[in-house]
Amino acid sequence: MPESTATAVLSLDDGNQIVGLSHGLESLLGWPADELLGEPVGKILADPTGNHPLNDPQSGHANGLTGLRPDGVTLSLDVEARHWETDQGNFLTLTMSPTASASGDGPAADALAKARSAEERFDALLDASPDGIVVTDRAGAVEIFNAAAERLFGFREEEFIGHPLLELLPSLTRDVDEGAFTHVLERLERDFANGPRECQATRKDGSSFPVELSVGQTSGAGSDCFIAVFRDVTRRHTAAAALARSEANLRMSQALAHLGSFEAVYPSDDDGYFSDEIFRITGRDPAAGMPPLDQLMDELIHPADRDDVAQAITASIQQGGLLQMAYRIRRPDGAIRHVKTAARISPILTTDTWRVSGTVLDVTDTHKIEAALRLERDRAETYLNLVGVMIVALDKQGNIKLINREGLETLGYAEDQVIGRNFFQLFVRPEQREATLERFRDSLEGHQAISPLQVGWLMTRDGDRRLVEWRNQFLRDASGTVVGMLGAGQDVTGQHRTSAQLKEAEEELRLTFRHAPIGMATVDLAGNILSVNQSLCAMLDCAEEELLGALLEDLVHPEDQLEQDALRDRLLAGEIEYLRDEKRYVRSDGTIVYGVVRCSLVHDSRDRPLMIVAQIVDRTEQMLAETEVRQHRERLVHVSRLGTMGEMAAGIAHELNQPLTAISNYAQACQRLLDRSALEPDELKTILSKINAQAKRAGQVIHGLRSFVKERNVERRPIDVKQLLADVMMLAEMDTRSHGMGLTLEAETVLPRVQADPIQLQQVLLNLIRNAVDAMKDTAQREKVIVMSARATSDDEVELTVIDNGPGVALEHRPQLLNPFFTTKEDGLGIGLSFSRSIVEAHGGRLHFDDNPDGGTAFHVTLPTVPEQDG
Amino acid sequence: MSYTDPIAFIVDDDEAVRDSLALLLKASGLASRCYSSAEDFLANFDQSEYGCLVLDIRMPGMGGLELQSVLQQRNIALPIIFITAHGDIPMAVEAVRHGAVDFIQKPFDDQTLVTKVSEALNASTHQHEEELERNEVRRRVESLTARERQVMTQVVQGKANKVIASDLGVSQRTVEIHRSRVMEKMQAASLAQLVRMVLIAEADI
Repeated sequence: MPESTATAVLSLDDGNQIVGLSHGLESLLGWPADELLGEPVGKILADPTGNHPLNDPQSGHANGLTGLRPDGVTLSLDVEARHWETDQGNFLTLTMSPTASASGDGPAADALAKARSAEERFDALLDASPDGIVVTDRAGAVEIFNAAAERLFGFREEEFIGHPLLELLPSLTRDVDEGAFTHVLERLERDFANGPRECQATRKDGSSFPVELSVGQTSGAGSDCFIAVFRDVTRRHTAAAALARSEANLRMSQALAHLGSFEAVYPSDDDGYFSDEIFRITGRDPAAGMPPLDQLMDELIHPADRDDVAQAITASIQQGGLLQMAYRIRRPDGAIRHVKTAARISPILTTDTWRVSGTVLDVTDTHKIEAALRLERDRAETYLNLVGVMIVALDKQGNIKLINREGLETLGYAEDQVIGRNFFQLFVRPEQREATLERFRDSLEGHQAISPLQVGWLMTRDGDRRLVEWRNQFLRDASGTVVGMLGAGQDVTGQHRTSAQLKEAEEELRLTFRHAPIGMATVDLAGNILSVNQSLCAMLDCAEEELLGALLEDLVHPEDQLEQDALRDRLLAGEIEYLRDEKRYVRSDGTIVYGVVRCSLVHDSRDRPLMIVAQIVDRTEQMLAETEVRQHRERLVHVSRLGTMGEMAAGIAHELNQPLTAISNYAQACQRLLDRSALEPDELKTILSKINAQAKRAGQVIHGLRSFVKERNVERRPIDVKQLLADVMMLAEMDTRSHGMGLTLEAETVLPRVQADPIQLQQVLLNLIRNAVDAMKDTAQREKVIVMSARATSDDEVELTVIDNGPGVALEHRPQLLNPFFTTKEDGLGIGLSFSRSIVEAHGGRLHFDDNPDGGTAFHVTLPTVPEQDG
Repeated sequence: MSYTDPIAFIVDDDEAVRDSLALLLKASGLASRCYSSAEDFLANFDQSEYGCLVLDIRMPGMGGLELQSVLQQRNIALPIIFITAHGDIPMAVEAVRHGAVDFIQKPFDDQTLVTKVSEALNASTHQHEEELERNEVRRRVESLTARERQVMTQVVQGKANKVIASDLGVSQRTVEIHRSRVMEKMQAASLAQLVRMVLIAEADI
């Protein structure tokens, strides 16, 4: 290529983007080609005035445009623009040269310059052309290889110059040897008179691609040359192939989707376009074609839906927009199909016609399926929500796909709050989450088989813990791949709690039994020991092993063992709930344990006697204590007796005084008579015996007192009541007489005997009489009388009564009268009556008081009698 | 009116004490009679008899003190000796306040007892005699006419006949006649005796 003074040619597409450029551009403006291809022209060319010559549809000149170099230097350019229309689109060529032009030397120079500039232009044109242009000599060897050709084939011009053109078209030269290339070319040239022709070209790297080739022959300057123009139609091919494919796809899709498309003009006599699927849907023969639109609609649309369709069409026309309707059509064979139509109805301007285009979808099956599905779904939903367990479906990540009402209720969420969220995130506690997730993943991936039953704790929205038993299975898609897990979960928290509670209760019971402070044993119905606790072992000084299996009765003291235990029989028969008995047990060292044993019967779950639970309380200490108490009490009773005695002292003194006085009188009388010598022996005798009698009398008083006062053991024996009363009378008279009160005895002639300690009963009666005396001694009444009476009130009771006619007991004192330490006496201890009551009650009797109808109080002592023995 | 020996009336509920006491008194030459209770005594006491009471303070039924007040009410003026046991001192003091002569504690010293009883009996005798006398005097006074009584009253006041006559509005002679009749009826030998008798009579008028 001859050196030029930098003329550059650009080709631009519709969008003013650079699609081709000549080498000259690089030398003119300094931009490398690859930085400009595809760029907007404004990158290199600017109009200082703001008007762009390229906006002018007409070709033309423009001078003084500014060209931009990469370094920012500008250059003034003269630009010639030319529009080209091709069926690849319209494009524009710009021929640019620096504004200042070199002046020539004359016509030769002018002609030379013209020729040169023409050549430059030609070169520039060549280089700017988007098509590959190759010029060969007569033999077909390449002389010119333009920039586009370089790009197309991957050869640089220098590389390929001299090579046969047909090297680029091996497909055409397969069976042709090199010598015949010219013929091929010629033939091509002839063929291409009809226009370009497609063939496969080969690039430098060996890849082939489709080209549209035109070949021309020209003779210039006396030499023939071929000019071949290559247009890369790969894209077009690809596009065409794609189109064909997509058309095929479309047809196929339509067939699959029962979707037909159509386009028609209404009103018109022309056939509209109806896709195959339309015919299939409507059941018509494609060969027969379609009638005009209005007729077609009449024939097709189900009468019942016609009005609705008409309305929809009218509305669409009025409002514009997409027409969408669902209606039924009738096939020629009478079958009814459900269809959905989406169409656009647009008026064709300047005509009275409309273009109608759209799709028709046969939804019959869908309709049926949908209906069936809906039914199915409703049923499934009902089942899902009726079932009493939680149903949860998770995808492979553990996100919730489905959850039934039971599940929502148990976990405390609404459906929209959980669908799609991660089950483990929501419901499993953080500390257990990882382990649970891992198990989940493992089973999904098949590393671990799903266990048929899994139990785990879930956390509800409120923070409650619920124990759930899961039955899981895989969810698979149509191909059998696992896509998730379906679980049915049962809330067993209650049961868990119950069983936990049960265990706790059991443990508690066991510990209670083990560590109870009283001896406990369980015994079978035959009396063999099943279990014992520590207290019992300690009580009997036996090791547990020694006791287990032994007969409980064997541990009882021989004297307390029973051959037949009526109580136990009644217990086993269910007549009594528990039995209580006092038995002595023998320890391993032979010592005695005083025990109180309580047994109750335990039933099994079917209410049959199962075993006996025995509780044994060691009463030995208590017994000893009781004995001590009894001894204390007796001592106290004794002291009380002494007290009573003390109170009677005045009376006693008085009583002793009488016989003493008499003795002294008698003796002194004797002395006087002797002084006067007036004492006859007989009289002396008489007097002496009287003295004796009085001495005895005094002795008796002392004797009675002494025996009363003596500390003694309680001796109960059958005693004669009358004798008792007589003894009491003797002792009591001293008291009453000394106070100027009368004491009388009223007793039935025959009185049964009572089992009693006579001294104790004497104490009681004396105490009562004493109280009567005290009550009356300071009163002003004239006659003060105490009556002691005895009578048999029934076959087995005797009542002794002490009645006074004193002031009686004040109402406010009555409730406390028999209480210990209650007294109305100034110097009283208040123990007399309470002791009396104790003594009487210890004899199996009662002590009570009431009013004497004649004024005063009556104290009653009732005692059980000794049954008279037969024989 | 008979002059009998005074009797010691023994009232005690204890038989041995009664009996032995009676014997002791008898051995001392004193008469006695026993009663087992105050009621018994009241029922059987003859007012014409006199003496003293030997009375036990503590007795069932009517006690000694009660008998004392009954006798006082009935104006039976027997001296009372109470027999007491040790604890009866307050009672005994009370008794003496009410006019008992004495009290003795059991058992007694015989001499003490005999002495006291004798004294009591003597006192009783004197009393008796005085009473007899008083009764006689009163009887005599009763036998006077009204006029005579008037005169007597004036005479013992030491008034002269003349004065009496003018007081009464009669003659001196009348007064003298009345006066001698009084002396006769009253059996007074002298004016002094008459005065004494009037005093005796007036003792309980």
